Amino acid sequence: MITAGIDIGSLSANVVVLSDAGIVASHTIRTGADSVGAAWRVMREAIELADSEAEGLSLEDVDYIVATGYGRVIVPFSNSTVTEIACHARGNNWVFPEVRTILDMGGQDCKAIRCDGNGKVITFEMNDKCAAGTGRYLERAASTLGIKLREFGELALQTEEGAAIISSMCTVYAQRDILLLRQQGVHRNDILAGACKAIVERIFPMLSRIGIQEAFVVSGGVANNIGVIRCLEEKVGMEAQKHSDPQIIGALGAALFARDKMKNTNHE
Amino acid sequence: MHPAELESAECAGKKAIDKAMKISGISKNSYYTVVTGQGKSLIPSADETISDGVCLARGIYELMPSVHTILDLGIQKSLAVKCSGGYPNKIISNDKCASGAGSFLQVVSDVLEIPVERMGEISLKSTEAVEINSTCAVFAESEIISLLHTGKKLEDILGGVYQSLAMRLYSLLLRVGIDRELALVGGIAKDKGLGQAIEAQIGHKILVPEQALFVGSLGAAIIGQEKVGA
Repeated sequence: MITAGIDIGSLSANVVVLSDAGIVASHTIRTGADSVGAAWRVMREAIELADSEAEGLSLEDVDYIVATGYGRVIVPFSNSTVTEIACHARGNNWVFPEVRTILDMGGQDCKAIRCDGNGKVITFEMNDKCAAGTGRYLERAASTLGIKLREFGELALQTEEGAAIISSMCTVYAQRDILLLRQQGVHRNDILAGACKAIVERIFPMLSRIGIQEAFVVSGGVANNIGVIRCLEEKVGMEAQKHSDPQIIGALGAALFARDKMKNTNHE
Repeated sequence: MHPAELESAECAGKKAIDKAMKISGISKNSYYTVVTGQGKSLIPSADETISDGVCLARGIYELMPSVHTILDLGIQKSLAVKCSGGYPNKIISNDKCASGAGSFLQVVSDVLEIPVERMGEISLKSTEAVEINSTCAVFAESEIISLLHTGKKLEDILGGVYQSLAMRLYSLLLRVGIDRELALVGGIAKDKGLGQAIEAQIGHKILVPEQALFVGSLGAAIIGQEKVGA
C-alpha cells in the first residue's frame, strides 16, 4: 500500500510518500505566492524521487493522500484533510515513540503539543498571531544581519562575548534593536545568539502551560537552527530530540493518517 | 523638531534645542531643560526628566483645556491619557508591539512603497475597505502582498489598514475611558486617514491641535517654567 501526506505551510510545502516498509521519499520546496502550484509541484517531484527508489511509481499508484498544514484546504488532489496539530503529534510519535512533549516551530506559527504514547494529542498551545517566536523572527534577524538562515545556528554558537540582549519582543522593533547593536559594534554572532535566546524566551511560556514531560522532541523548520535548539535545551533542562529532516514531520503524520484510512476501508 | 532616528538621541536633542534657540533669539546659557518622550533617559545634560503622560496632560491643558482624553500616537509607542486640569488621571501605553503604533503604518508603507504621508489621503478614497486579518505587522505585510496579488485596490487595502490600526487604538482608549473631547496628538496625528478611521470607531469627531507634534514638549516647557518660577 502506498500513501502520501502533504503539508502546505506558510513558507514550505512538504510531501512524504509512505509504503508498508516505511518512508519511500520525502521532499520540501518553498510555498511561494502560488500555493496550489506549489502543492502540485512538491507532489510531482516527490513522486519522481519515489519513482527512482521504487521503479514505475506514479501519482495514480498512491492509494490515499491526506493534506495538512495552513494551506491544507487548497490541495486539489487530496482525499481528506487532518489538522497539523494531530499530524505533528502522529509523525513525531512514529519517529520517537517515547515522545510526550512536542515543540513544532514553523515559519509563521509555533505549537507546543502534549501527546500520549499513541501519538494522540492531549493538549496544545499555539501562537499564530505574533511573528515573535516563529521562524519569521529569525528570518528577519538573518536578513537584517545579511546572513543565510542555514548559517544562523552555527554562527550563533560561535559568540565572542556571549549573547547580546535584544530588549524588544516585537519582530519589527527587534529589527531596530539589532541595527542599533550593530552600530554599537556588537559582534554579529553575539546578536544572533541573542536572537536565539529571545525566541526561546518567547516560546517557553507555551511549553510551561502545557506541562513539559520526557521525552522532548522538536520539529518544524526552526528545529534546523542549532543555536535555538541549544538555548531550548538549556531553558527546558532536557535533551531536545529531532528527526534529521524536522520539516517533514507534519507530512509524515499525514501519510500515516492516510495509511490508517486505507486500513479502515479495507476492513469494512 | 528634529528626527531622532539617525543619530544619537543626545545629539538630536541638542540640535533641536539649538535651532529653537536660534529661531527665538534667546541666549544659550539661560535655559532650564525638561526632557520627556521615549528617549528621555538618553539626555544626561537635562535638568529634569518627566514622563510622557504628565507632559502631555499639561501641554493639552494649555492648548485645549476642555480635552479630557489624549491619544498620543508615536512611531514606536502609543499612549492613552485620561486627564483633567493639566494632570493625568490614568495612563496606558503600548510600546511592546508594532501593531498598535505608527510602526504599523511604516511597515505597510515599506511594503507598498508609498510614503506614510500619502497613505492616509489614499485610504480616504476607499469604498470597500478590505479586512486585514493579521494583527502582527510582520504578518500583515505578507497579507497585504497576497491581497495585491488577488487584485484588491490599493485604496481599499489602505482603508483596511487604517481600520485595523484604529480598532487597536480604540481598545487602548477604552481602557482609560473615552470622553467626548478627545485629542489626537503625536507625529501621526495629522494623518487624515487615521483621524477618520478613529472617528468611525468611536462614533464622534476628534480634535487635532495645530501643534500636535509638540504637545509633550510644550508640557515639559511649562513644567520647567514653573520650576524656575518664571
